[in-house]
Amino acid sequence: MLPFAYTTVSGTTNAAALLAQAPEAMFIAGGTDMLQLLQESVIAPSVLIDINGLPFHGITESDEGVRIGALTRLADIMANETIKRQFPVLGRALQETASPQVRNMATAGGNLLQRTRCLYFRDATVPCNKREPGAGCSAQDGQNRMNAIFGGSPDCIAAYPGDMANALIVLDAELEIRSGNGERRIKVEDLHREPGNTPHIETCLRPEEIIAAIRLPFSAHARNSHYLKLRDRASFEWALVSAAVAVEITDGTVRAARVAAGGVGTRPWRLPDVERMLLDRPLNEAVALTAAEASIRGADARPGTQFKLPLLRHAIERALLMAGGLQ
Amino acid sequence: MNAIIGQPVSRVDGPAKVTGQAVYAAEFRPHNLAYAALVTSSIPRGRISTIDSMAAEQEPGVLAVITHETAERLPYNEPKQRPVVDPQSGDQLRVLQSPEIMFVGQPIAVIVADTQQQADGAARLVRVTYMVEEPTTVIEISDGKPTSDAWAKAGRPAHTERGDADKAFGLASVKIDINCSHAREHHNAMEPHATIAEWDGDHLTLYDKSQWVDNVRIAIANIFGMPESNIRVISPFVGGAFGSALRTWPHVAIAALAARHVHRPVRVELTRRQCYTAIGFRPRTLQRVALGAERDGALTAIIHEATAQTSTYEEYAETTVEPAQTTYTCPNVRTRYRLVEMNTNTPCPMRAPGVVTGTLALEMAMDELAEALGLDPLELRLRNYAERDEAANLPWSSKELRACYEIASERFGWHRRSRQPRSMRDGRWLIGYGMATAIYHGDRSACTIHATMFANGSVVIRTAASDMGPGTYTSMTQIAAETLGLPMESVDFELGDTEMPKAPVHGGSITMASVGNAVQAACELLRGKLHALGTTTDGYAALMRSYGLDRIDAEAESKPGDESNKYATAAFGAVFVEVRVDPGFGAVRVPRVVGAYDAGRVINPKIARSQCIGGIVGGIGMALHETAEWDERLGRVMNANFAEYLIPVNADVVDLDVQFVPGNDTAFNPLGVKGLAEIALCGVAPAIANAVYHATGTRVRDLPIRPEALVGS
Amino acid sequence: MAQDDLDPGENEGRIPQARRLAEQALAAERSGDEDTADRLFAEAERLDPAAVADVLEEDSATAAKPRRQLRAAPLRRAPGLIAKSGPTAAGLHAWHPRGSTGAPRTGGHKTSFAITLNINEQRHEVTVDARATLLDTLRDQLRLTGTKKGCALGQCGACTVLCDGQRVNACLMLAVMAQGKSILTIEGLAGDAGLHPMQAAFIEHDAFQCGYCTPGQIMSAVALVAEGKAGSDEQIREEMSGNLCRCGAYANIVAAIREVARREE
Repeated sequence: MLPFAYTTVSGTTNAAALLAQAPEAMFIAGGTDMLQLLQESVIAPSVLIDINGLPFHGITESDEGVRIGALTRLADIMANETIKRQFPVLGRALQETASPQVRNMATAGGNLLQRTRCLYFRDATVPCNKREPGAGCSAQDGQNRMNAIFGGSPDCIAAYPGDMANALIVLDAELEIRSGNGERRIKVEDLHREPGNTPHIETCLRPEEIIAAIRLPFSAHARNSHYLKLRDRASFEWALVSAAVAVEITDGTVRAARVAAGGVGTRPWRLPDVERMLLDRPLNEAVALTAAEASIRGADARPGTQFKLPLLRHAIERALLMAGGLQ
Repeated sequence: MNAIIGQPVSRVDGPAKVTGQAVYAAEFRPHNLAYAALVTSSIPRGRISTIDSMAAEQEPGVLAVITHETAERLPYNEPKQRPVVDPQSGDQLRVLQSPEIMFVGQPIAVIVADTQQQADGAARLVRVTYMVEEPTTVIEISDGKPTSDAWAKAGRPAHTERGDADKAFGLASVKIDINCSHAREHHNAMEPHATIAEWDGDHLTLYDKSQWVDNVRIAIANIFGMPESNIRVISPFVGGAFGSALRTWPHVAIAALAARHVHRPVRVELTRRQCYTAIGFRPRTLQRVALGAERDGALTAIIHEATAQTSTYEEYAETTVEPAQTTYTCPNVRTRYRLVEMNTNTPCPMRAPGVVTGTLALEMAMDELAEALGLDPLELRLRNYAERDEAANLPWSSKELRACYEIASERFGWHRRSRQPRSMRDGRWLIGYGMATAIYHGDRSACTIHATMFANGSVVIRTAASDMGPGTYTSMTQIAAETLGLPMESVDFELGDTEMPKAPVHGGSITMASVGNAVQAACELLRGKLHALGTTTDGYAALMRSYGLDRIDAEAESKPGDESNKYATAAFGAVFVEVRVDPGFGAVRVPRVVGAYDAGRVINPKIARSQCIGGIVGGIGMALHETAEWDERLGRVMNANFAEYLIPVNADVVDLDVQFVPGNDTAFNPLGVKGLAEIALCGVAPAIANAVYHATGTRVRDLPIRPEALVGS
Repeated sequence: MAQDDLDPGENEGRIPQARRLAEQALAAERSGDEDTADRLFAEAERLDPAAVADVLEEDSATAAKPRRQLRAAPLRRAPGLIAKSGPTAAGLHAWHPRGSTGAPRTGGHKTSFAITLNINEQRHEVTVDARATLLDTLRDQLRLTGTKKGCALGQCGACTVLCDGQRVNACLMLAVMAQGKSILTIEGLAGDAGLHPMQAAFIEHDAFQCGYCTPGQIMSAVALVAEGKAGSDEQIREEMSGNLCRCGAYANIVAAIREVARREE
């Protein structure tokens, strides 16, 4: 690691001011991805601003839903009974995230902002547009089996690696975003950007903005939500492909459907075509199969990622069958 | 005599290991220790044009930046005889001696600083420019060259033949001819390699991660042109190695060089990423096996051709084609071994080097032959049972492979296997059963043991051996205690120091047969000396006190006799595996493995079982997970970490059943032991591959078997 | 992300200014003044990269030319796969990371800290570099080497310690951030009465070979039982999957934990 300074903050205004003074400063919370990036010299901040002192901790419940402070640890979210009951897709996605040790350290906000596992991004001695804009994308024709089949560009095909974001999208979750000047709300779905020709800009957050909380509204489809993660080994690995589904079925007919996939997109990837195929239909095996077929529309696979097409179809189909009570 | 040999006693070093008191190489703390960080090349071939260390030198705490421009010239004398663990031809990498670059990750500078953070940070500031030359980064069979005469002399010739295999294959009633491959694999022992070097005048002490401290001493003496007697190498605990700590790697020389440069002790600890380039690896190998057989299954021809990778600067060859010559009875066998020189670090032995991968190819081909013949795979093995070693033309010193087959197949329930592939299911899961034979040649080397009995009744046994995990400390303590008729608590077995008597390499499954027999010999000698004093009813301590003796010493060497002229020796095993494949997802899970082994006499069944379950886990990784993601454009391993280079985790391992067939191979050595470390890995990966075929009907011949190969199967 | 979603008054002036600069840069680029364009883009990007990206995106939506790369660097893709050590590899290998000059840019904030760590119920005063992880501080400064370094990236679990009772990877925690927390390492596990039951069970079930991952496995296992998640072998296997063991002692590790968990029931 190159030398950096360290400081703590206790208020959002404070944090923003600090960042303005030192533009190459970065926030650190759980540190589970940050330390990896520092150790491998993928990043070299001037100052680490420890935001653990901000009042963004804990889970609160209201009539409308649940609010998760952005500094809440993943293990605490998983263990929450309301989350398990009302948002099973989230509990499951977190259970399959990283390791118990990492889940005790990693925060909700930091998890959303984790960086890609693209092998060329993580090796600081090879070209990568995300790490050094203009350097070139080595993954296009490289070892890219863990890279994206959706949302890529000639400049970047790095996959968004996380699990939780996919779950949050099918739960219609929103983020509270704070800066020195106030608060705004965005959908989790709108947080991440596709790389285009600026792959180093990964979210719509302004530099001094901080995620303060995740808001989850109660809903019938949230209660019938499922997460399915496919990996090479049985645990402690990022997804080859994952499927998050939330489906409301009333009187045998799908009234609401949200479907997203992980491991396949340059950002958490919602699948609106699949959702449309489900709406106002019964969720039976035939519908699940047809809907799953739609999941790979528009995919742009490389030789190394071709296998993700059938894998995604099967994962979506299986997750839909789970939602339909057919598995 | 109290029976200690054969008892499942707990490890004598267990308390040290579970309390964090066992000290590994990087954990020694000589006074005033300084910390090093390596700067490594980012190109696969070329020359350093400029190396700018100004910024690094100005960092706080930095004591030195040593490059090929500032490092002392080292003589690198050729050893009288190269150790078997080293490449037999070519030149080892001479650290910081020239601007030439031969592979990505080659150390090109070392930073020494007061703290590890300062050294690591400064290493990022060294700016290097290169003259890039065209590298070789692809392994192609057509580029393969025969191994050199030096390797032929060392027993790994480019060509062997008995009978006329090609003719017999042409005439065979049933034929199988397959190509297969496995990935470049990395040892990835949990402990990263590390060396601490400390000079005292012209004397050097090295705290090193090593499977062979005596060899480190010889290697460093030659590199630095200094007497061996001025070097001491200490390595009491090794945090796993699997072959990666057999050789003396460049960073060991760098530690010594850097320590002399800054006049302080220096620690070099590799990062996990550097463990993919600063040490060796199992070379990717492309293989062809052709089998010819009669209709009744009798093998008439075996042709085995292997092409492996090596570096451009050293020739490393393996025994890949050996199992084809010895596993089954067959009159016509031809083998061919080729090497492709590439811009990479040099490969090195990794658990059951060569044999495990050769067995992989042979046993996958046998499975295909069984299918072509309509025979049960186990039945095909039994019909080709080798009653002698037909390559050496000698009888086996012992062979209980039939018992291995019987016990393992019985416990596994092999009879429940349906003949048809893809015919066994559990819900949506496809179930597959597969099996394979395992064989690993037995060997032993000379070892000297010094045994001392003190007047308080305690015994200290010493030799410069190693314990990277199989339990040398424990099993040798058992042998000593039983031989002396003492409780284990009275015996201290010490190892891992060149001040101790000479021991052979801790690899190739030879430790028990080599060190174990020497322990027995030394303890018998000691017992004889004690008995010569008089009666021992009150115990040895009383006897010694009555003679006013503080201590009695005995030293004995045990070495191979002429048994290898009379017998061939090998350990054997039979491995049966159940796999489950979800056809939609293509991922393979292994719920059950049964292995039965003939390893001769088992000194400690508890720790022997641990070694076998460890081998099975390694085999699961080899079959399903492990592969270096090699970028041919860059000439480098891209997934050089534990998150993307996958090894099995706890959740991948379910039900493992290990059985030892009773054995006592006294024709091979007095203790009757054979070897265990390598045989435990051999056979697992092909059994899994064969089970995957049985489950899915898809033959996957390129390992690892990942969802890519099976999704939608 | 559309600008319109923002509340008025937020991010006072900063984003509009970045947009303005980016638009000026674009104009300069169109007029062929690359130097000015580069300077303005760099300035704009420093203020707000997202706003610059938006401007570029809007521009490329109308312009029939390749999108401009930020930081004015020429867009350069890595050369395609070379069949066999082709000459284009040189282009790829000639690349250098931008690197750093090493000049401190710390804005007056401290890079070194005198801290107090509470480890195994003992206070340790120690001066640490901001870069020092808890793991390196334990091993190199406090000489508590029972906590092992396997990867330094949170990917193997060899450095597992308990932090306020919860298992964490000591390699992923900066030492300076461990202040005020209660850290328990393997050295603090055994009490006056002898080995912790988990340590004894690991010996009894031979739940290790080389012993290097063992302290991390044991700390993780102790936490697992306390979490009440050692209910079945399947659950133990899943919940211990953050601790790699290359010697492959997993089955014995599960047996040791099962025994301790049953005894504590």
